[in-house]
Amino acid sequence: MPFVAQQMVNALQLGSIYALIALGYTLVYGVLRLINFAHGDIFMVGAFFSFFAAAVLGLPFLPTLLASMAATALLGVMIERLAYRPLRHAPRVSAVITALGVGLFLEHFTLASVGAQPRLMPPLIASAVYQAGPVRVTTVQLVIFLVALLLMLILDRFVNRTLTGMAMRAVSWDKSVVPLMGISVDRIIALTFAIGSGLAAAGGLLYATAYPVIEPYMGVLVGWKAFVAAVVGGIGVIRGAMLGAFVLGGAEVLVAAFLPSTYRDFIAFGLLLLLLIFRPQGILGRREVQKV
Amino acid sequence: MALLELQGVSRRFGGLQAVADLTLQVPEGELTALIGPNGAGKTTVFNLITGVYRPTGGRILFDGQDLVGLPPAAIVQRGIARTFQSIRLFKGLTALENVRIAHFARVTYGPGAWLSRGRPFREEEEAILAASYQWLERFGLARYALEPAGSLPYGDQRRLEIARAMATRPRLLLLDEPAAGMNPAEVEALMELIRWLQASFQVTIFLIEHQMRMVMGLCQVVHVLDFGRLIASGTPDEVRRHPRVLEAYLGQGAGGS
Repeated sequence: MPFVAQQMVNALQLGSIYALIALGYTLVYGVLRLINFAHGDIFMVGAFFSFFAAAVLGLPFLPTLLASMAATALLGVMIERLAYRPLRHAPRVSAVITALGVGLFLEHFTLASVGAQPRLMPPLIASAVYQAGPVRVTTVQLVIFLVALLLMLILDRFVNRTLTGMAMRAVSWDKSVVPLMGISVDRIIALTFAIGSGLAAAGGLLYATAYPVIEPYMGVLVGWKAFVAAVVGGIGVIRGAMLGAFVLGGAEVLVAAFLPSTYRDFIAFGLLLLLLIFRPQGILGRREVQKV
Repeated sequence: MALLELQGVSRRFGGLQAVADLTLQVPEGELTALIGPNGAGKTTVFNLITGVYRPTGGRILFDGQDLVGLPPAAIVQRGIARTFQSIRLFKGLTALENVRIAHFARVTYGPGAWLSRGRPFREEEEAILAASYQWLERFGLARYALEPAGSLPYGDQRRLEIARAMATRPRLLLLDEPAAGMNPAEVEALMELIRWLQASFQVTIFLIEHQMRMVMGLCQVVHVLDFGRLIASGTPDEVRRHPRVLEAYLGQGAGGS
């Protein structure tokens, strides 16, 4: 039992990071019906921004978090403005290919400008271990969980309680009517990219805090996993992305705990495929009713 | 005084002249109708006024200012709201949220206000919430406030769409076939509602309608469109007897219905 409880703590840590990234996929999908395949690489750039803020500028944790979120949000808005907006009315496959291209661009721009050599993230959080009953929790784990939880609560309230959040949800229901409420769809979409990218940067910093080696390709696998988490939870549904991330984190940690760790991704993804066969719209997803 | 004035407005889609050299006026404070057979270009006219399409020629003056080239959101902010022939609510949002979101155009606090949660922000949000409830009450929809808009009965969805349009505080309300799919009793109630709106909120109404009964009962002036051209204008009685209108509607029995 203590062993399982300990694994749950690890699952929460991993799930928190996946959740922050998965939210970006689901938010952008909600307003644009586009899978932003560059999002994993936006997460990677966010990790590098955090690295520069911490290692080069010597900022402490909170300023690093805010600076990295702001810079990455700006990057997300620029990507939308330069790469996706011109294709808003193009066939969807063009936008998907552009997204893949933006991802490759970010990876190789980072590679060319900072080099392939992995960087070591300086420790920003004094490490200590707390014993809570049978479970050991590190300060790093606590910070990751609390920061992720706080950001998710803010996002959830923003989207559900404010007019701007309402406008984001309205765009996902009927984009063409939103301007008739006096709302600029372009601004809502730009805001969505800013929020999604900012959350990915937070995920990047938290990831680098837990696993302090960062390199230009780190966003590929993590990005795919967060994407899967968003789909499992129900793409386009914000609470679904959070739930899917913790389901995926839990599956990974439990498989790794009881089986050889090489089985981890294989079994975790197998389970998720199975889930999607029986519930293709995801755990909290809504079925798209296609009008004929 | 004309609140809305179309001067030689045209719109071409490829080889199709959807609207041709259309000139008409919608006088302030009155109920004006736009009628015509299916495919005459009526909804295109609404799309031109609201900025969904840009005219290929002509000017659209609202309160003396040209609207051509403005994005739809800016036109709403000038005071033009509309409804759709096929109901276009945000179906997954609650009825209350559908009305709340319509206040977006008039919000005065900045985008960062939510994070600081200052007093102007809270006061304005509370005012919007209260105003939204009030709109639902006026339209007899208060009991649905927290229901998803898509789950309302058909007639109530139509009323909610009008309530949402009114919540943007328009000076001109464009109604695109508001009586479509309604039975005679519902049409009667809708006419009552439109008269009440016009009297209570001094809103000018321009409506597209197929049901002649409704047009005849409500409107002071009727414009008739056929193949994108204005073929007649006048009082309902004049228009009904106009030879070109009879010709356009021939076989549709519009003269009698």
